[in-house]
Amino acid sequence: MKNRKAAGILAVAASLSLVLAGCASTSDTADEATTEAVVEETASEEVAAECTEPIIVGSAMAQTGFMSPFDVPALDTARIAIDKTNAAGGVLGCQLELIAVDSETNPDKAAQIATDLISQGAQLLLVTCDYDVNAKASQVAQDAGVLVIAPCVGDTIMGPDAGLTLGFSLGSAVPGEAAIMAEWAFAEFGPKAALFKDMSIKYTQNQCKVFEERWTQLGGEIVSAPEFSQTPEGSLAAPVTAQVKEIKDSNPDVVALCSYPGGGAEAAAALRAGGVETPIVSGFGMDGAFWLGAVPDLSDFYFVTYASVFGDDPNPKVSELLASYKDLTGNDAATSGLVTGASTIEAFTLAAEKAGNTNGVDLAAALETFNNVDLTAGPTSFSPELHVNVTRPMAVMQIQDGKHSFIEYRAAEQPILN
Amino acid sequence: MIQTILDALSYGGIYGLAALGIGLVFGVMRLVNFAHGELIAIGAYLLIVTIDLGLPLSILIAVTGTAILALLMEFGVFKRLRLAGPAVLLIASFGVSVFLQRFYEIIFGALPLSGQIAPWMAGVIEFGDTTITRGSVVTIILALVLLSAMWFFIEKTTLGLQIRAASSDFQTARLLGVRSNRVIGAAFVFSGVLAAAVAFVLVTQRGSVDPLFGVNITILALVGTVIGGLGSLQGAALGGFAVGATISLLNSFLGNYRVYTYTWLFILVIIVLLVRPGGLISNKAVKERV
Repeated sequence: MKNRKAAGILAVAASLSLVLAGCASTSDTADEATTEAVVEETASEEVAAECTEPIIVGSAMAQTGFMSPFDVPALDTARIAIDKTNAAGGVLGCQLELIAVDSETNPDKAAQIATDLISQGAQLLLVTCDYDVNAKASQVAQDAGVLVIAPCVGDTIMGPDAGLTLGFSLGSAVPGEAAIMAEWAFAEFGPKAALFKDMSIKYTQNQCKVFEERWTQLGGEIVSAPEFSQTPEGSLAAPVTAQVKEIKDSNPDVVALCSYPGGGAEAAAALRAGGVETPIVSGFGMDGAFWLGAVPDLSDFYFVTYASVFGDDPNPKVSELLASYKDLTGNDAATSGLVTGASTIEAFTLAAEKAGNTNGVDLAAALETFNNVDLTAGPTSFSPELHVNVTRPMAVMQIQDGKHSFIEYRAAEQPILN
Repeated sequence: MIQTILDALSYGGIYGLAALGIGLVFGVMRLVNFAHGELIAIGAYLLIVTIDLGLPLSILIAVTGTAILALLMEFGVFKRLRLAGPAVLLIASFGVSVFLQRFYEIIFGALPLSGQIAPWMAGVIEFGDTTITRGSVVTIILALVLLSAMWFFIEKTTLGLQIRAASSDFQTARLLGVRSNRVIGAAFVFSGVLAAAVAFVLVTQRGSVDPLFGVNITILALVGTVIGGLGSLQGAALGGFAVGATISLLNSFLGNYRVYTYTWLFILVIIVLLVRPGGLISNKAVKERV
């Protein structure tokens, strides 16, 4: 009992010192019990009232350039989550303040912005949803000991694999996403699959690689696997007539289209125009309705993504977020990747409460203990080895006669981690 | 095989039209107009946002709008830089290009706008075992008609003669009474019309348009104008055609090595330039000035 009291006193002292340091100090030596006590104490209004400086959340995400369609909605929902968190009392009694600077999808510019934001005191850095683009900015944060989160990176490289022990993504990564594609399509259409492989970026390359591995594990056969590529501006680099013919001649039960619009939409249109009426299964890259004008009245098209933005998602948190997003922006969400922005702030808040401070190392350690934590993006887990989700359930969606609808939430039975 | 040849011809045709549009402006004022891609993009945007008015009216709006934007570029920026050197003009065109990309992003958004302009161009035509896509046939016909019309205009009309004269030697043409502003303005207008034609074919194929819609084809068409022969209008069209057709053929013949299409294309470009540094059809006036 005496020990608990002493721990409590220590906790109050520790929390006061945190507050005096503007919530930016560290308490590396605090043990588990002390940390929990800190959370309890800092939640009190008494301490909150003494917080003089806000916790700065810096964003070096892309508000223009080719990553902006992914980054901007996620940043918007991060903003919504920050307002919600602040209204509920903030984090560790401090209000969150977002400073967002447009990195223009430019890795060097993002690194400069990261340096600047950290020098302004940012204790969480948000970076763009593609590892190739955010690598330099992430490294800046890593070197400065600041937690760095790319809300919707779908590659397991975001984390320890890239030396980013402080780097996380709230995205659902390809090892899970493409495994779901394979498992669902095999059950529905198997066993002969054709791969239509977009070789433009790592995401789509890995998508087809994981799909193929899981498909063959399930006992399926890959009957053809033609490749194509897109220009950096996002259109087909060359006609795909020959590839479509190869797929048609291989007579598959299902086509796995590993791509993203606009070239992905062109490829889907070419498949249908070339007489391939086989069901097509794809991933998050083909989420959204904005590309559907390229393939009017598309049917038998299925894709795996975070959630449904078409008004039929069964998760009330998603519906609530989509309504808030429309209130904030005046627009309907283009794709469901935006759920990761809100989840980023939710995860940061929970990690800070668990760690009792905003030190990058402590926050990372707290995040690594997440085991199916219920966030807007779904149950979220991290481990010291993996800072991206591969087991989270994802929405299986369909397009029939040009209309989207939700089928089911489904988790990968066997994610493919290499 | 027939489809491979048709694809090569149609791809070559589109790139030929784009290169001719760039070559027209380069010929009369030695401007390598990087903003040509944004002319193509505005043509595509106008087609998609006005298609509900019907295809003929939509095409008319796109052609007119693109030509007007081309003229605005000339009067708003390039006319004010008449005495500037080619490097300044080049950088100015970069500036116009980036400005317009951002402008489109603000007006139309960063996400692609999608829609079907000519659904009748989708699908295939079957001859026994052979299938060919309708889009490639229509594109070849359109490219042939437009290239023929441009040939007629350049070779058979007074304005065309003046443009040819100005392309060959601008100063001498001026001394002989060719009105420079009129010729340059005409070159921009026709460049805009050709950009609209390219936009029609591309947006029909892609089904969507985004702010960077015209960038890739413009860069490759510029390569085409260089290997065709800078300053030569026939050379520009031929060079553009060669680039487009080569991309398409490489894509067919490289099979699953087609990710190296652009690598091989540029190896071939280097070889052509090593053998014929002035391009396939070189223009003496340009060579002397360079």
